[in-house]
This record gives sequence, C-alpha cells and structure tokens, in this order.
Amino acid sequence: MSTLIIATAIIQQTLSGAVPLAVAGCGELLAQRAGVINVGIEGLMLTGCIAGFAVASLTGSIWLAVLAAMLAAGVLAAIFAVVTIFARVDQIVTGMAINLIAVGASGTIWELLQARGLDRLAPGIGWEPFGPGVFHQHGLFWIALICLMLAGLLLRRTRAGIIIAAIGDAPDAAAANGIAVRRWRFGLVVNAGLFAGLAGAFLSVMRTHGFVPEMTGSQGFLVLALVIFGRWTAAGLGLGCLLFGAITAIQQHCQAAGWTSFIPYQVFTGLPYVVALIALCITYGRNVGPLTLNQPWPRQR
Amino acid sequence: MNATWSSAVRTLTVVAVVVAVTVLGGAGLILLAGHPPTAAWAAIVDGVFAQPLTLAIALEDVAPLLLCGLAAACAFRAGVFNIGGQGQFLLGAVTMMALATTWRPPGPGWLILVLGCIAATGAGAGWALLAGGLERWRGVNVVLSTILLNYIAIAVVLWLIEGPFGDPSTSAPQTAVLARSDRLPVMLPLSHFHVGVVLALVLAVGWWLVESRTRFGLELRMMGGNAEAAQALGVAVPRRRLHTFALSGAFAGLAGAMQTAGVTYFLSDSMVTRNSFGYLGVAVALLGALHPLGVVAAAIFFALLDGSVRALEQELHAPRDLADLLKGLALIVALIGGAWLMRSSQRRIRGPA
Amino acid sequence: MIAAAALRPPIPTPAAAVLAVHGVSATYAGIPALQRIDLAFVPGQIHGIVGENGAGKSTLMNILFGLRQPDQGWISFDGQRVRLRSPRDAQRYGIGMVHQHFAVVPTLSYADNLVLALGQGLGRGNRAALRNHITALATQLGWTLDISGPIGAATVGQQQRLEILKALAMGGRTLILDEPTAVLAPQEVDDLLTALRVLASAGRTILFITHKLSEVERCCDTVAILRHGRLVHSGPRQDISTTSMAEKMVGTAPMALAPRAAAEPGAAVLNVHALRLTPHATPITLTVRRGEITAIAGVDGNGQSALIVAILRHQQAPVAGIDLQAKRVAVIPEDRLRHAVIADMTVADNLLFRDRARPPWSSQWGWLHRGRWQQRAAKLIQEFSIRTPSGQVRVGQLSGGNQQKVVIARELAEPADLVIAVNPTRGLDLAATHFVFERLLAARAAGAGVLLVHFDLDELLSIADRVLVMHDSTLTPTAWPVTTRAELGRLMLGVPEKVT
Repeated sequence: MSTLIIATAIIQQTLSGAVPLAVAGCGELLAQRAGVINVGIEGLMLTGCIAGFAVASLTGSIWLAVLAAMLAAGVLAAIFAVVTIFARVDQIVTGMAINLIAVGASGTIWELLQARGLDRLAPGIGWEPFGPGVFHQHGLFWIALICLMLAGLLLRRTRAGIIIAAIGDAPDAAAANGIAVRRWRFGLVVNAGLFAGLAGAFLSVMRTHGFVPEMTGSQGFLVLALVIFGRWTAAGLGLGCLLFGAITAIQQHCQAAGWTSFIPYQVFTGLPYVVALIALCITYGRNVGPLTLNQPWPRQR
Repeated sequence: MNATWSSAVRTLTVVAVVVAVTVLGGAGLILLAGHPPTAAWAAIVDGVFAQPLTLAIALEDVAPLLLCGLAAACAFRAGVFNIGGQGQFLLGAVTMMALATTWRPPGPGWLILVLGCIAATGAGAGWALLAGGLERWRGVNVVLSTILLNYIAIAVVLWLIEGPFGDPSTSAPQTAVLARSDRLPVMLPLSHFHVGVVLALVLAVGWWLVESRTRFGLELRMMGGNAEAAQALGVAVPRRRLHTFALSGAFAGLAGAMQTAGVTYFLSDSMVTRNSFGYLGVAVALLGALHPLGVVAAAIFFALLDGSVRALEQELHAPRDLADLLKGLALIVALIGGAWLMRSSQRRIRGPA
Repeated sequence: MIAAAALRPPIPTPAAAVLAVHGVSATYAGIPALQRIDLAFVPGQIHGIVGENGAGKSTLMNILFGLRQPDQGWISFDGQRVRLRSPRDAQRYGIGMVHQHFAVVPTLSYADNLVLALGQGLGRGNRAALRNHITALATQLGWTLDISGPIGAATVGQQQRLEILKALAMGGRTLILDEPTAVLAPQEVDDLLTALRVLASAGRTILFITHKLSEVERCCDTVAILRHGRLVHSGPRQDISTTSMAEKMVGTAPMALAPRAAAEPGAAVLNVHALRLTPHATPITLTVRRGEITAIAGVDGNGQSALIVAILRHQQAPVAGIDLQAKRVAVIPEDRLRHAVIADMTVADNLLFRDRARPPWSSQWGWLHRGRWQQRAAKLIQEFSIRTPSGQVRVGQLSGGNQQKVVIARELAEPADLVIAVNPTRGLDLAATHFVFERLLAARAAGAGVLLVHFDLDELLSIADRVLVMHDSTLTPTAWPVTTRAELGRLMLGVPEKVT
C-alpha cells in the first residue's frame, strides 16, 4: 500500500507544483497571443512573493496579502507595458530589466523585514477548502483550473479571443477594424502581471509559508517555455504545467528516497530544465506563435 | 554638423539623467531607511573614492562585468539574444580551475594562466554553441534555451566541483585553492585589482574596432538590423549567428576564468549559485547601448555602484540588494532614454525623390 | 457565453446627407501632409480623389474613417459637425472603407474576420443572418461568391469583393475605396467600376481614390486633385480634361520616357527550364536575354514571388531547372524595407553592402577602408540624386522614393549582367517612378538582361520588350505588342480561350 501513498503524494505534489505555473501562465498566454512577450514574468512572480509575504506577516490576512501581491506585480507590469507598448522599447530587453529590479527590490525588502523581525508568518494562514487525499489542495488550485478553462474558452469562442488573435497576428488589420491595439495590449500585459503576482503570493504565503531570496527559482522562465510548448493554447499550457509539476515532484521523491546515493543530486535538480529543453526541441516546426511577437506597434516606417 | 552636435548633446542628457536618477533614487531610499544622505555620501566617499586602494577594490568587478557586458553586447548587436552569460561564465570558471588544480600540467604559472584562459574561452564558446545549435537545427527560441542552459550549467558545475574537480583534501563542495604562482598578478597590492582588467579593456577596444571596421563586424550589424535583408545581401545568416554565439560565449567564459584566477582563487558551491555576472552583463550591455565603449562606461558605473552600496552596508547597515534595485532602475531609465533618442532623431527627411 | 462588445447603434441620417471636410490640415512626422482641404461629397455620386503617391490622399481618407484626427479643421455630416475618433465612430455614420491592403487577419477564417469587424457574437443565429445579408448584397451587385472558405484560399479580387461587402454590411452608406484597382486585372477593374455605378445609383456616396486618370475618366462624377497636400482642383469631371488633370497632379507637363531604341537581344543570361514551383504546377520555361527587358505581367499572388525566390536561391545553392549565366546579379526586391535596406544603418553603409568584400573598400582580411567607403558613397549619392543631407543619415529616415534610389544606386551603379526588379515603383511618386524606369532602360542599353515583374500593367507595358503572363504559377508567353491588352487581361485572370 505504500506505493499508493507514494503515488497519492506524487500526484498531490504534481498538482501543487503545477499551480503557480498555470496561474502565471494564464495571464502570459493571453498577453503573448496579443504579441507581447514578457521575459520579466520571473521578476513579477518574485514581486508577488515578497509583497504577499510582507503584507501577510504584517497583517496576518491572506486576502490582503493576495491583493498586495497582485497590486505590486500589476504596477511593475504596467511599467513594463508602458515602456514596451508606448515607448516601443524591445520587449526582451525590458523584461530583463524588470527581473533585475524585482530581484533587487525583493532582496532589499526582505532584508528590511528581517531587520524588523517580520520574517515569519503566523501558522494557519492558508485556505484549503477540500479534505485530505489527492484533492487536498490549496484553494488556489481550483481557481487556477477555472482560470485556465476560462482562458481557453475566451480564446476559442469569444469575440475577445478573436480580437486578441488579430492583435497578435495582424495589428494593422485589427486597427483598421477599429480596435485599440495598444490599449488591449496594455490591459493584457497588466493582467498577466496580476496573475503573476497571484502565483508569487501562492509560492510564498500559501505553499512555503515563508520567503527565500529568489524563491521563484526560474519558474517564471519555465512559464514562458510552457506557453510555447503548449503552442499558445490553454489546453497545451495546462498539460505542460502538469508535466512539469510531475517531473518536479518525481525528482524530489527520488532524492528523498535516497536515489542520490548512486545518482548525483544535481542530475535531479537539473532534470526539469533538461526536460524543458527537450520539450522545446520536440515542438520544432510547430513553433509558429503569434506573428508579431516582440514587434512594437505601430511599426516605424 | 548641427545634427551630430545636437545628438551628442541629447545622448549626454540621457546619460546625465540616468546617473542622476540612480543617485537620487539611492539617496531617497537611504532617506527612507532612516539615514541622512550626508552620512551616506560621507560613507561612500570614504569607502570608495578616498584612496587608490579602496577605488581599486571597488573596481575589481570591472573585468567580469565588462567581459560579460561585451558578451551580451556583441550578441545583441547581431540580433542574437544570448541571455546565457551566466552559464558560459561558470563553464569558463570551472575550466580554469580544472586546468589550474586537478589537471594542472607541469609548467610555470603564467603558462597555466594563459592555457586556462584559452580553455575557458573555448568552454564558454562551446556552451553557447549548444544554444546556437538548438536554434539552428531545432528552431528553439534563443532566449529560453540560453536561460535554461544557465540552470543546467549550474547543476553541471556544482557536480564538477563536488566530484572530479573538487578539492581532495576537504569534503566541502569546492575546488582546491590556486597556488600563489598560478594567480593573476595584481596591479595594486592588497587588492584584487588584477591585470585582467587591462586585458578586458584592451578586448573592449579591440571589439570596437572589429565591430566598426571589419567585414565581420559589419555583417553582424547587418544581421542585427534586418536579418532578412542581410540574407538577401549575401550574409550567411545561420552561419554567422553561430559565430556570434561562439564569440559571445567566449567573452563570458573568459570572464569566468579571470574571476577565479584573479579574485576568488577557488570555486565553491555558494559562489556558483550566488554570482550573477552573466545577467548583470546583459544589463551592462543595454546600459551601454550595445556600444563597446558604452559597455566600458556602464561596467565602471555598475562597479562603482556596487562598491558604494557595499560601503553603505558596512557603515550604515543598508541592505545589499539596494545595488540591484538601483541598477534595474538605471536600466529602465536608460531604455526609455534610448527610445526617446531614437525617436527624436527619426525626423523624416522630406524631399522629392 | 461571454458577452461580446456590441456595435454601438448607428446614427440615423437622411438619405441626402452630405459628408464634408472643412479646412482640414494634418501633419505627418513634422511634414504637412494636408493643408486646409475643403471638400463635400454628395450622395449618389462617385467622387474621384486623385493625386500622386504622397500627395495626401491616404491621410485624408484616414481622417474620414476615423483612423486619425485632423490637426486643424473639422468634418461635417448633414451640416452637423462630427468627431470621428475611431473607425467605430465612422461606422456609426455609415462610413465604410476598403483598404488598399485589406484589413483582414490572414490567420483567421473569414467568419472570424467578420466577427472582428462587425462586433457581433458568434451565435448561430447571427452568423446565418450575416451570411444571408451578404449574399443578398452580392446578388444586387451581380457577384456570385463563396464566403464559407478560409481567407487564404480566395484570390485578391475575391478578397476585395468580400471587403466591399463587409463595408456595405456594416451599414455603409458612404464607401471609401483606397486605390482599389492596383491589385486587379483589367476585367476585374471593369466589374468593379460597374458595381460602383450600381451602388452610386442606389444612393450611396462613393469616394474613389486613385492615381490612374483613365479610371477617373471612366467612372467618376466629380474629381478632386491633391498635390503635395493641397487641393489644387475640385469640381465635376466633365469640366476638366485628362491632360489638365495630369498637369495639375504633377504641377508640370507630364514627363514621358525618352523613346528607346529597339531591343537588340544578346546572349541569354538566365534560362529557366521546366521549373515546377509547386508539385502540381505546370513547368515554367523562361529565357532572359541581354539588352532586353523581359516582363512578367500578372496579378500579385500568382507565384511570381516563388519564381523570383527560386532564381535568387539558385545563387547560393543550385536549383534544378535554372541556369544562370550572370556574374553580377542586381536585385530590386518588392519590399525594400524588408529585403533591400537595413533601415537602422546609414545611407553610406546601405550603398556599399554588396561590395563589402571587394577591394578597394575592403582588404583581404576583412578590414574596411572607411575613408574610401564614404567617398564612394558620396559619389553615388550625387550621381543618383539621392536627397539626403549626408551619407551618415539612417536610411529609415529617407522618403520611400529616396530609399528606392539607394537600392537602385547600390544595385545598378556597377554594370550588371542580370537585373531582377519586382514591383520597383511601389509607393513612389511619378518623378521617382520615372527615375526607376530610366535606370532600367539604361541597364538594358548597357547590355544587361532585365527581368521585370510588375503588377501595374500600364507601367509594365511602357517599358517591356517582351511580355509573359503569370497566372496560378504558370507562365505563358505572349506575342505583345501583337497581343492586345484585353487578351493580356484574360491571361492574367486565367480565363480560358473559348469565352465569348
């Protein structure tokens, strides 16, 4: 029966691991479909981590923490949006700048918190609506699922989805049809920021109940890879997140189960990235994303 | 003449604004943390600018920042978004250590250093070419592959310094310490301000010449400007992109070698996971507007910024990550300033054809 | 079902409502594009708006469609001042526009494109009603259409018809057509003009923008002429002759190309033999000889690009069926900003890209002699009258005509064996067009073989020695000038011979 216990534990961890990826991925998926790629998702998530944690430790309320996290990440995302959409600076470059700011800001704030002794969360902060077993998941898991489905429906079946696809593939045509391209892009990028902040809050407040500098540990970048791997669809993204969650869970279990005695632990820690790389290789030839990704609009003639 | 003068003035304005924002931003944050700015300024002057020694210590970081900056700059110029400086740096560092400790061939110290640098350059180039190959033959997005390879590099290097290249005399995950004879000579005693800085400067100037005066540099700039047109004009774009990857990785690998051979003298696991010269190199490159001399200035700026924040940390217990925050801020301002410069110089030239 | 934003209700207007602009001015990147334009468009008529490329026609139309705001002046509708802040506002007043480059998203299906434009949800009922509405409109105009297929499958002419129907379906009482005939074959032009007549008779207001005076003559009731942003004439079409129109458009008597010597075709520089562009296409045979301009006529999108791409690729890796006997090939591609110039680099650099490996500007190991480079650039700038303050200016800052001059200077400064030019006068005004053709003729006189792919039949016929027609990836030689223009049109459309 211990296999059942292990399997359950692995599935639980898989789902839990997939949550931040899926949440941040939802927002980024829509933004990328509209042609804006935000390499700074990593930084935005980290911002959510620290903001959520700080407010949680100050107030003890998980809801305020979530709000603060989303707000903080949203503001940073808005800055990113203004710089890339209105000042038309290159998106990749600006995204890296956002990462730098986020790392610096979060580290600074963390040190300040530590200095004031605010570096611990009251126990019991959390929200797990359903009971034990596989579905003993944090409430955010269910929200993530719903968001993913809504995103998918939005893209495939509503006019908003058509508009987003149009903005990403042919913004000139969209504008000629009366669509305020830049306003849509701005909104979607800020939305992606809100989601990233939420994912960050999940990491620090809900899952780990703590903060560690740079705790996002490249999950933001993995989100980018997953959006591509999922070929810019919600279903693909969801699948990818599950896959990733599974790999992380399995490799953690292997380490805990003592496999490190004959395989160096770095193999395990490096495994998710290798798999991500392989996944990107496999989708070769179908890597056709939105046609105007990373191209500012309107084009300079 | 008028146009060049006013564009020079505008560039200087942007530079001044960037510096001002950084300084003022820092001052503001210091104020927020409860310390009077005058005390902060005194601490900085004392800790960094007062003596040649302190200045030299602050500028120790210029070599890796400059080289990683050149790595990113030459790649971005050619349209190759190599964000993998981090991993390439580490590969270079571990190669240098391997050659200088575990696999040290017999010979004088300087020979080892030279061989180590060459090998490290090759290692960095090779790691970058992994991403290049993935792009060319599997169509994998460069930004993602280089970032992922960074993390893989960390894992690989950690294993290497724990295993084959580790120091046999201790169980700690680190390499052996370099013998005195095998270290990069220092230019100012009591500091780590080593000759590598000079080499880095020379390479920066060299790259400037190559970029602006050779066919290779021209072709890289063509690719960066418009890859389709460059291809139509006869540039072998896929091949040149691979060359760019190699060059970029080479710079970063050399940075890693110099940092271990000139400053730290060994490589430990915390050094592997904590250092971020690769990513800072990207920031330096962008701040320097991808121009080699700009990258030099930006590297010096960042090094001084780091030194200042360290001084503040010592004297006033200011948070260390302040430096990163200010760097990010400077970068965003520089990006916006750059966009403004571009726009204001884009006046359409009217005229019947 | 998530509610989609509905189109705001249209504003009811009397049938005789007149759309007018008053004192409208606009600048574009610091240069005046329109200066105090006063025009009124009466319903039931076809109003021609004429001018060279760059005269301001498109800017005026964009203002009328709400795509941009006038810097001065205002728009009135039925005597009331209105503000058109976006195309949505324009649609509410029944103004619809058919763009030069259709406002379709190529990756979406036609139905999705309609949803994009019309702002209705995707409910079944809505889609069926839409389809019926559009089919009814098409029948009125005498068109038979299939709108269920994906966008990519439709020909350009069909896409344009769909665009017109779309504009009409959105309640368009005023229809603006921006250079609609640029992409059509002669028969399609006839059909279009007939349809416009029908629409005008039914009481709609048609604004027809063109730079082809022959069309103005055929169908317009009034004509307004713009030159350098100024309105130099407006009034009924009968009151002005074509020659006057041409003069007013250009400001001087129209230029004619210098009469050219008869072609003396020499050896072949390019031989294409049995090349298949797609696995099922008819094999292509083509010969380009020195001293001769071989022109390929055809509607854009019939395989011309594939053919040119194959020829160009042969330079790097041999392509079966192509035999190239040229040492130096000059290429003037269609999309200069994409394939011919690097906008962020200087004029001097752009002028010398092709020669970057040749001495005396480049040494053996790749060192470039900047001094000589700049000198050569200066010489070329002067020789080709490229209007730029210096060689250090970014090419992106030059006007389209001057950019094309840079391309031509670069390609044609040294004698070439084969010149390939694709739609080389795109977006150029008359003077620049004239220049381009003169240089092509000069190349021909110097002994080069010229392969010209052009979509404007009239311009093409003005300099071609031999004409072939490309349709659906098949190349058909003709006996022009024995073959008539109508016959060429037939071939361009792929209409089989036995049609009466």
